[in-house]
Amino acid sequence: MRDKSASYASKVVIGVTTLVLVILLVLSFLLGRDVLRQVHELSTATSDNVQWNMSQSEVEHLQLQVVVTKAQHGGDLEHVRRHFDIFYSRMATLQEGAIYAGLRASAAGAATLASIQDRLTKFVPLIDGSDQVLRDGLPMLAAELVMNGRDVRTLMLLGLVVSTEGSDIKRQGMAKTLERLGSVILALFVALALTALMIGRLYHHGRVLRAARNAAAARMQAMVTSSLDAILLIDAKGHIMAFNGAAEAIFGYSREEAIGRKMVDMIVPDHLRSGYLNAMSRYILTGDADLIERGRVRLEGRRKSGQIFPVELSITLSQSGEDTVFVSYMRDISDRIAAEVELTKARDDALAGERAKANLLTVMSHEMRTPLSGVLGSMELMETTELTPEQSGYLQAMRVSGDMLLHHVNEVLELSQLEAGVAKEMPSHFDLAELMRGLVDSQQATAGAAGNSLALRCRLGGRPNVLGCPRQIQQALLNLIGNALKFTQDGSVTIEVERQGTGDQVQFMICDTGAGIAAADLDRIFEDFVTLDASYGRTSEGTGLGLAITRRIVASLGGEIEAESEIGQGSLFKVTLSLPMALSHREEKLEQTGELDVSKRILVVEDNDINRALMEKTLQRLGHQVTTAEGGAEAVSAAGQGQFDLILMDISMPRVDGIEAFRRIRAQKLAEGVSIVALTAHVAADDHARILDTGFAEVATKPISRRELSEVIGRHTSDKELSDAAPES
Amino acid sequence: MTLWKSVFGAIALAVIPVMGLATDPDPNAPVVLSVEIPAGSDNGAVTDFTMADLRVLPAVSFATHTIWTEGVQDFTGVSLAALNRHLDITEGTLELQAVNDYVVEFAVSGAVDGGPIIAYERNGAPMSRREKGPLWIVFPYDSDPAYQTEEVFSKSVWQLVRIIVRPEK
Repeated sequence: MRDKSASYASKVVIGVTTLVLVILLVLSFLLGRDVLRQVHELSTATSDNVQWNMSQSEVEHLQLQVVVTKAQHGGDLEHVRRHFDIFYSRMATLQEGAIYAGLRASAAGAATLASIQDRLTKFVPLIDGSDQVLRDGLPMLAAELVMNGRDVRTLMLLGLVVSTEGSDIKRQGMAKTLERLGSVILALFVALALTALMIGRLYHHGRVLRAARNAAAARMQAMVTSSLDAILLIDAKGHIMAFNGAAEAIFGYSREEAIGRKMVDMIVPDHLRSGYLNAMSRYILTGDADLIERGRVRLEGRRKSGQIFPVELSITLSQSGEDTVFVSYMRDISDRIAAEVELTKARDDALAGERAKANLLTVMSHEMRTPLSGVLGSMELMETTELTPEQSGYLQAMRVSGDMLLHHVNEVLELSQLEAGVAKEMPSHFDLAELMRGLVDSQQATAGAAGNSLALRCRLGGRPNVLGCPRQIQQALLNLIGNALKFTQDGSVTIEVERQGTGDQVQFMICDTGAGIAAADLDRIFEDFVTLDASYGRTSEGTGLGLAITRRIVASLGGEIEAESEIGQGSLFKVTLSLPMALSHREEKLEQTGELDVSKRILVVEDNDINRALMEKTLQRLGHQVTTAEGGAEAVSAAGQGQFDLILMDISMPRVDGIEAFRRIRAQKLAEGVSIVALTAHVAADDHARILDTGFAEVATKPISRRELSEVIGRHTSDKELSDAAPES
Repeated sequence: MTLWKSVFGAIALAVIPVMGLATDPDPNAPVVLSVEIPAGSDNGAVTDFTMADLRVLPAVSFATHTIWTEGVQDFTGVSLAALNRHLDITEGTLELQAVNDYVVEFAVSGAVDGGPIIAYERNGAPMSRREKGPLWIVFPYDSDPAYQTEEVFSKSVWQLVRIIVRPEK
């Protein structure tokens, strides 16, 4: 801004100065010409006209006197007449001429001229008269001319004074002109001096600017040279104008090789060539800049060796006047790309590992739970037979071990299930006090084995019915009670359940007098696979997943869990859950009574012989009519032959699996309106979703307890029974 | 004005020679001007002019101030250029002589049309010798500042009686 106004000001100054100089030049030229003219005039006025005339007056008067004297002695009268005329004419000039105005203006001059003129007028009759008259008048003429001569003399002296004054005036005029010329020349000199001063200042200013520009250029050069990115300057025709050190290193060309050559020929890979040329010509034609000023763009470059490598590119446009220069910054990002590829691969590998682990767990769950459900089911059946006390003891031991094994397997599976967020239990009404009692009763044996007392205190204000997810609550509390019992020897474990005021919050406190947990460990006990203190390894075998699962369950129920502990004193786990009060448990009662009432026709499809037999026995004991099928194909034909209220279908079967069998039954419309429930040991989330997508009414996970089984049957046959009943009545 | 002048000039040119030829030249008429071309040159001779001879030549008139008179004066006469043409004088200088023996030289090249004339009438009347006549070299002083110099004034010879043509030195 300042520079602009400064340059504007200096332009004005230059303009004004030029104008002044021109005016002064013209003035001095005119004045000079005037002076020359005057000098010339002075040099040519060799005889002063006034003085000449004045002296001529005297001369001519004298000549007149001479011829008059001669005439008195018989001279030619004509001479008298001629000289009279000459003198007369001269006097007339003095009377009339402008140059004698000064003489006439003076009193003495005017008087003298008048007296001369009087005499001449008096002479005229003589001169113009006959020769005789003239000759007679000659003496008088001569006498008068003597007096006249004095007047002429006086006149001449007066004229001298006047003409001197005149030339004085002329000289003064000349002096004035010279003075004026002098002042103009002085002004010219001053103006020239000012101009010189200004030029000096401009020169100095220019030097300062040039120094600054040189410094800036040097800095810029240093920046460009030391830049880690390749910097190329490209002119509008695509020729390289500058090529820095980094560019040499990246592209392998030396500066000398690069400068002046076309960029496209050097560093643009062949497959990008046409694109680049198009962009260039489009820019030149339309000014439409594709790549320019777009920030970083990822492209490919070519080294001198022909190697193509990834570059990150940023082009800016520098426009100075008509000159367009593309400044292009390029960075070799081969290393970064390589690192990115490596990182991606590592991540993919890790994900693949995770997937493999999940797969392993899924497979393991199936492989382990299937035989396990056979073992546990058999034991369940065996308990109903006549047993000796000894046999009962062994069976009890088997039962404990089997339960523990199932517990471990379930824990692992539970984790993957929770991770996957599947099988979320729907809230239902249940009796919390009853659930707690059952839970504590089931653990009494474990407690007794370690010499622990296990006590339950419920303070639910006589309103034990709540709305919640009993299975998950049970699971979470079982984990905590199991842990408390595991880490307590000959102590006590107390479970307190208390509703907070009249609100929805119910607090569960599991308090033990066991080993306790170090404060430093308290924070990480809820992490996965944490088993504290190796010394407890013997007594506290486990997966280390218990608390992690508990935390997940509590979180999924929207509750909170916290732990307090002191080494040697024991631990306290507090779980707070939202369990709104429910009215009664009549529904449940109805359900329970309904369990044994109605007999259903059920088709059980199961490839495992033991499990199939167990299922058949269990269902028969519940009062149902059971038909069995060993595989998918058999199931399809059985469905075609008999009438069923429900089909329980195993999914994993050789040859025709459960899903295929389902499709065939539905496709052939063999069991219209009959619900088909899937039985599976697969607990993975995507499995469940896949099965339900096929059209199964529900997915029941094996091993399935008697109670669960009766619930499933109740859910999927009641409608059917009603619709059947209607036409019969 | 210029048109009228030229028309007038044309009429004068046409009429005056007729008048001149019509009146018989008076053998006793006085010579008013002698032009002397020295012997040795092709046209070496002395030419005498009476007033009537001069009037035969093309007449030129103009009005101007002079430093020797008061007010604007009308002059009529023969231009020096016309006289030179008449006598076939093309180069050299003219030595102008007055009755009082005043002598001054004048370059032939200075005798241009629109320049000096040998006036024989002032304000419509012939000039007596007492009035700087009968012939007076007059320049159109007012028409050009170049005619207002001392040099020109010195060449404004009155009471002109003789012109001697001198070859260029």
